[in-house]
Amino acid sequence: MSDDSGPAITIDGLTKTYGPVTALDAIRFDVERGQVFGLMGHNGAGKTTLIRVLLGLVRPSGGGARVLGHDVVSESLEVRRLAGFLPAEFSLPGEMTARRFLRYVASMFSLPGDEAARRTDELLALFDLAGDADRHLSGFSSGMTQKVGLAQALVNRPRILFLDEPTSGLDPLARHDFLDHIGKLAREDGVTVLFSTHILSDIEAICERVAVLHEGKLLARGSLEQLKAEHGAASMDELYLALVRGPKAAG
Amino acid sequence: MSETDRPAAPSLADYRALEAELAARPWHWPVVALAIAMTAIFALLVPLLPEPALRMMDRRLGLADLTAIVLFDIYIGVFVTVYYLGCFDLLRVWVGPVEARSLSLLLAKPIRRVDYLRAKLAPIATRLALLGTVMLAGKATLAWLMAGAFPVVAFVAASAIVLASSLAFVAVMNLVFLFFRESYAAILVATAAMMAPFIALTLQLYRPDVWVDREGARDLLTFPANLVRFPDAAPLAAAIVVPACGAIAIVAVALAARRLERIDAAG
Amino acid sequence: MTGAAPSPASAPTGFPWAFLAHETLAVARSRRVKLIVGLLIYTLVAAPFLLVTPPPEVAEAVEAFFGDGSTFTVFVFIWFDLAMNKLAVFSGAILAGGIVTDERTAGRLDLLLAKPIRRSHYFLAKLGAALIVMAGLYAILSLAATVTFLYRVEGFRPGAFLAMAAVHLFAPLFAASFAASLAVCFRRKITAIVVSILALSLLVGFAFIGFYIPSLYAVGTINPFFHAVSPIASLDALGPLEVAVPIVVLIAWIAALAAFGAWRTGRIEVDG
Repeated sequence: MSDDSGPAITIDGLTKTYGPVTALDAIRFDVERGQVFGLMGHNGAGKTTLIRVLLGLVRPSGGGARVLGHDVVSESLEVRRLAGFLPAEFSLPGEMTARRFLRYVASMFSLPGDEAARRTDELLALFDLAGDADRHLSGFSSGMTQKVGLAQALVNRPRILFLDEPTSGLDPLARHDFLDHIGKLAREDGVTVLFSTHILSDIEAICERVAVLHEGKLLARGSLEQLKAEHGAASMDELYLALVRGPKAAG
Repeated sequence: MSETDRPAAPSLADYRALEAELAARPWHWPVVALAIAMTAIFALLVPLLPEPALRMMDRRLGLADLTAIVLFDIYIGVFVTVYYLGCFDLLRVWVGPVEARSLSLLLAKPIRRVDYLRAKLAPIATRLALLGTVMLAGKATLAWLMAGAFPVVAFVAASAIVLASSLAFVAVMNLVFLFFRESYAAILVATAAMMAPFIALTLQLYRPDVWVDREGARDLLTFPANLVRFPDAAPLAAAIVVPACGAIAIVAVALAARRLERIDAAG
Repeated sequence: MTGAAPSPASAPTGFPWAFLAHETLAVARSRRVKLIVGLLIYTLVAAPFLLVTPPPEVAEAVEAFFGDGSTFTVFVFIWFDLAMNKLAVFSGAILAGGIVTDERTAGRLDLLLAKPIRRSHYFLAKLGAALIVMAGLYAILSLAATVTFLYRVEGFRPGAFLAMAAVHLFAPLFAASFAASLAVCFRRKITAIVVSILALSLLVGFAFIGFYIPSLYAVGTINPFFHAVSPIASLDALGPLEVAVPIVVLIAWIAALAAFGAWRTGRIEVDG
């Protein structure tokens, strides 16, 4: 059953193993609704696996999680109906145009044809892609591809957005616009955003609270100010180093 | 955010329609045209073969005249062509998206994996059936004109067997492909699997001693020469084989859905 | 002079042999090669069982085709027609049918072509790696087949078989070159592989047409696969000429296809 009052995400002892490798080790934390929540950690920390588990793409080996009140295993379809997702690495079907691809994605949400068309036009305009809407995706630059990637994640007007390393391939201007847009989604539309990244300045720019993953383990969680104070760190860099390598490394 | 609070429309009709549009491949119709043309070339070349070659086909496979040889070629050609077209189309279901790193993006949408599978497979099956039927009709017309008349009811029944068995084979390969993450590997496995339906036929050609005292099994298994040799039995055989192939396809798709539900979609 | 910037490496102009070596190892270790090896082993095990006692009608037909219906000629015909020609098509297309299109699909074409390697050299190194692996696999299979058949096939003549295999070795190399050259003409790898397999299957299907129908002999010689199997008509009197001429013809085909592929790769524009 969906619960409109509880946390957007509840993670309770979530574990994922691949043979002898533990990708997630008894992770436990909550994400409040309407927040931009940062998921920090370097490559291989378990961020992508965690997002995949939350979306029902990967089955957990132990523990559980709920997204907007829905169990991520037994009710993953409901989770995905309410969620938007931008993977860290993806490719778009080069033979489709941007418009056709967004319509294709809309069809997976069962949006009626006229609504799908309207939403597609809105998103193309929002991301300044209207002029390129009928060009094949194979000719899109990486920045434009990332915009289409975010647009497809917003087709269903999601209540929760999972963004996995979304700014990695963006130039500074595109990155600024992107973060600005994500911030607006949270502030104005109340969308919860789980923002996974290893770019600390992105975290500082947009996230209210963070969780730090390292080698599949949760090292810390809380607001940025609280964590900095607890670890005596003046900057995000210091905080991260203190968490991952211990206080001496940061000092 | 009121729009997301209301449940989405239950129908995936638009999605299925889009998948059906995307199922069209640029090579489908050229391959069909080429396959049909091959019947004409074959019918022209067979009479030029030396007598011992024709005698071999008669004695080993029961192909007594030009019509029989051309019909045999039609059945084998349609079976193999539909199978390979199907296997290449199947790459769009799992292996292709995994390779292109678009799978997690697609499966993160609110669509059950079984619905994803059905939406991909239904247009593939429909198109294959259409392509196969056109191929059979085109080849049969050329065969009739160039090699002589043949019993139409038997041909239709045999064609139904060829098409149904080929489609069932494709459905089985779809299940097999879910265990692979590379298109080359999938194509190679499809090629290896392709040998299986013709093992009995190959034995009949080169090792007929294997069938001594097993004539019943030989006649049953030497596909598709048996369809030419026993035209009178073709309607009854079709009545048994076509539903059986349908059942095999359904079971294969159900197992594929089960497998797909359990795979971690990392890709 | 510690503050001076190191001088940039001079741009290589010669053939990238190290890249070829790495690529060869990468292809040899790939999963598809393991699958091809599986197919080859299966062929090796199954063939003697299938071909050990051919019925008289098959021997008569083979005699009509090649003027010799001995058990050995029948065996050679079936081995190269039924097994090796088909393996040539599929292993060639699988090993080399994704040159450039693979990189394009994976989105790393710009990354690779940005390296200081001439595009033509890039193509030739990739093709070269596929050919080396293919030749290695084929040579091992042929040697293993010779040893196996010596004990399992009556009247087996290892010298003639190896001579025939030496010529036919260039059939899969031709298939790989053909698939590679076609691959750089298409944007999508599956389309390229479909077209390659289709065209190569047609060529293989007509490989023996000159022997089946003598009036089409001249037309049949246009087909490279004809040359790969042509020594079968003179198994009793295989001389250097019967072996060398088809090899030269096939090498000419392979060189022409490689040159075309290299030229075509040089004209590719990276657009995503």
